[in-house]
Amino acid sequence: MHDVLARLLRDPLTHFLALGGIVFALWAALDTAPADNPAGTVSAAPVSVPDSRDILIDAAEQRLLTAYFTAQWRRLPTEAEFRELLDARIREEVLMREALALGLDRGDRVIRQRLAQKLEMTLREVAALETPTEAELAAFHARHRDRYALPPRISLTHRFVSARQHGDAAAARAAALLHALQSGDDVSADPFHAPGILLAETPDRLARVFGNTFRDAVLAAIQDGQPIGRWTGPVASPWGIHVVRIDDYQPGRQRGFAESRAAVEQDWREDAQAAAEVRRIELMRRRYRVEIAPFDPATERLQ
Amino acid sequence: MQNARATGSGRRSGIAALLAALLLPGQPHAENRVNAGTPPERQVYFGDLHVHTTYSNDSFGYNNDRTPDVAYRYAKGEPVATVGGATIQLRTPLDFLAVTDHAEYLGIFSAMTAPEHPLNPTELGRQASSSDVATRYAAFGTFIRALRSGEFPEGFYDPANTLSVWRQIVETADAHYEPGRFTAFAGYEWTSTVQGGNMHRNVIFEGSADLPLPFAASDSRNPEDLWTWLERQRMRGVDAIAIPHNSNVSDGRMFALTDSFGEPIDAAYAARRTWNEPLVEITQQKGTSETHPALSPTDEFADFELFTELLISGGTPGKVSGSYVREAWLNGVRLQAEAGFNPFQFGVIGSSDNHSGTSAVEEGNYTGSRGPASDGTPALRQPTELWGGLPRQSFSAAGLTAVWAEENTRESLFAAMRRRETYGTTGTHLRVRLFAGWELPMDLHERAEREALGYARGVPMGGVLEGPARGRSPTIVVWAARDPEGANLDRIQIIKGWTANGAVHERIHDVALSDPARRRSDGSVTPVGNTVDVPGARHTNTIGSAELAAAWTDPDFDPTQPAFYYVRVIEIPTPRWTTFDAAALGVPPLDLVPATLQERAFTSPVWYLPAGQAGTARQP
Repeated sequence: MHDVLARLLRDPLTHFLALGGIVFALWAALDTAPADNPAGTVSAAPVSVPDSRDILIDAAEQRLLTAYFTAQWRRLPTEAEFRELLDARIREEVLMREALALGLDRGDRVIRQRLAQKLEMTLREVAALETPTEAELAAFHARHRDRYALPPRISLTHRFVSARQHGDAAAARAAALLHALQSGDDVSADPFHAPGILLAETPDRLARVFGNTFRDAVLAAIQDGQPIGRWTGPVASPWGIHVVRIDDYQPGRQRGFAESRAAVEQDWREDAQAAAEVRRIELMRRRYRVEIAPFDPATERLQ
Repeated sequence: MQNARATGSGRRSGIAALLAALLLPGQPHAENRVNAGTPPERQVYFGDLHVHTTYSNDSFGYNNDRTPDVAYRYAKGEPVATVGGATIQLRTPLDFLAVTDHAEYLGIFSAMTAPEHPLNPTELGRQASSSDVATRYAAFGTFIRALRSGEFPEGFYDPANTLSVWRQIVETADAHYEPGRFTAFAGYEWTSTVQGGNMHRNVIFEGSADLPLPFAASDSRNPEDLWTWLERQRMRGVDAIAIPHNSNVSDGRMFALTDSFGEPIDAAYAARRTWNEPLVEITQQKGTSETHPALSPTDEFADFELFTELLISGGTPGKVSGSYVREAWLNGVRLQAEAGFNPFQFGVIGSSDNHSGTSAVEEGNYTGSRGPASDGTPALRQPTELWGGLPRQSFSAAGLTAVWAEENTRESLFAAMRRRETYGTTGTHLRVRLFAGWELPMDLHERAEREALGYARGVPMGGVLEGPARGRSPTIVVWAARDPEGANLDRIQIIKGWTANGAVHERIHDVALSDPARRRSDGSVTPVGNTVDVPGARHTNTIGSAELAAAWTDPDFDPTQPAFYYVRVIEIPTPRWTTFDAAALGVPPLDLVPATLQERAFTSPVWYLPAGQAGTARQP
């Protein structure tokens, strides 16, 4: 008896055939059953047995058998081998149907878990097939506007006064440098480990190049109305003092629905899939009246 | 599984070629691209070229369900959820990332959790699908035993699944690639282990079009066969490099002087290795492979984050010789002098090798390398029970790859890796740049046009300086700047390796110190000090320097002998991740690891080749 069950469990096709029909029947029922119908149309009884005495091994099934064989042996089955595959498959089908008829699936924890898991997977897959309407997507975009925001872009030129090279004199030197630059003299400064001109960088990238303090100071200057194209400073970084000219500033902006539609649809699907699974399970659960008998686990003796 | 030259690989590559035809994701649109600059305008970009997700079977065994998508999001600085409900997030996001899952039976555990998978009903499938951590880990144990015995359950090799997972990995990299802003490389790990010795390599593809199915260690365990495969890919227009890692646990095999068949290395081997493997990962979560105190007894910084027990060996220490980068570089120049070729002319990078899908390498923001088993709370990282024979505290919060490139794109970063203009760090974003040449001004580092002059008159890190020397000695000019959110610098060192009369020599020169007064009259250096408040897990930047620079001319130069020079930049002491965790929990740090460490960067070397030898060492 255990061998039969073990065999049953080993073959995924069993599950495919025995469960596939049930799952889709259930799905259909679920889709048509109103949410407030606690009776539903699906019984909680164990797997039902197909009445038919017909066994059809269709082409899709044979293709699957061939695929399993090829995955294992890296070649196609010979004619004799293929006949054996079919024989084994038929034998298995017969045993499976007889086992179901005997009710061997009932009360089995592994089968129970497997069925639950299978349905979970199916719910997820079916949710993935759902196609959102444009209105749904637009609403999603409106709800998650921040996800589709574009960061600001800053172009700047800077001159550097190195604390290593000038120590305490760095501040005075930076002030003189700023004065000279503001008066139109392009004076050279100390070498810096990043380029003197940065184009269309995000605040995030500015922080990575110059440090968070520098990024914050530049953003604050822009906020305070620092004119484009005019030298300003001093702006401190971990390595010294910078004199900075903002060459261009493109504020961050929200992307409209049309502009971000592809990303919105992808995100919608991810969210929808997760939400649909939770919702469907909740719906199904509502059709059951759950009764829990009184029991105190603390009274159980450890074995 | 036994011999790498098994005929199985031929059959397999037939299937692979067939399946590869189905794999045709295109290059993403380059909308964010900024015009590429000239070499002097190169910027440094930081990234991680070695992260595992749920599709690595060991990572899956550690209960890691994070997909490549999560790995890229984390690298970009987005928050990622932990199993406990908290979120983790990088403080300094990365510029690039490669997800490198183990190619062997890629994603099979993840696949067999699906009820319709043929292996799902087996004992292994049951273990893999379990929500119980220990049961799931047991599946990985079964996998390791199978790897050893070579006897896998039927259906374990599943080409259709490999294709679908690989395709997902490549498509995810494409989806996250934002040229000019964030680069996502397609890659994987070739996980060859030979008699317990780690021969692992990461394969990083330049692009994503027409990629083949990964060549795995189950196809061949010999790096020569991997190179043959890489060369074949290049002929069909797909460029990729292999980056060896964890030479420290290779049991002396990674930099052995013989090939996979026990034959002495020859010029052809050297040329192929140099072209296929221009870089080596020098530091990562499982230790630093720069050098070992037994190999470099006079190097006071050699005893750093060592990890010496062979993997899954129950704590067996591996052979030291043949396992460390500096010794390989030394043997390389010796072979250059004796035989005219150098099989170890490689640059270096650092990466995490985290099996959590997260490049968590920040000491003060470390969340472990094992996903849910370690990244929820500091308490999860406290137990001293063993991970693969070692207490989890001995794992490092490291490392990063730094690349000097014109722009943040696949092409630009890949080209930089090819020319070895890279360095590795132990997780810090410190910057270091160097030039070597015969006619570099001794004040180059103070000049505004230092980069332009450096490229015009010298070579950058990873370059080759050729003779004739004409009576001159090479000058190396180097500058370094601290991580803007990190610790000050202690010193810059130039480490020279050379050969004379069949022997190899190394010497460490402290070329820049945070305070020149630290140099004693006998040439030794006073330690920088230590500001770390251990119970509070804090340091202050009241010692050290934010920037250091130096110009140095080799005082002991022999123009007849090949040599190499590389730079090591050392930070002042800061709390180790274990100290941050202890502080968060209000307990004293465990004394099995140091409470503080000095983070550092290692550059790719510059090689000197006497006139007439350069030709043989040039890349084919």
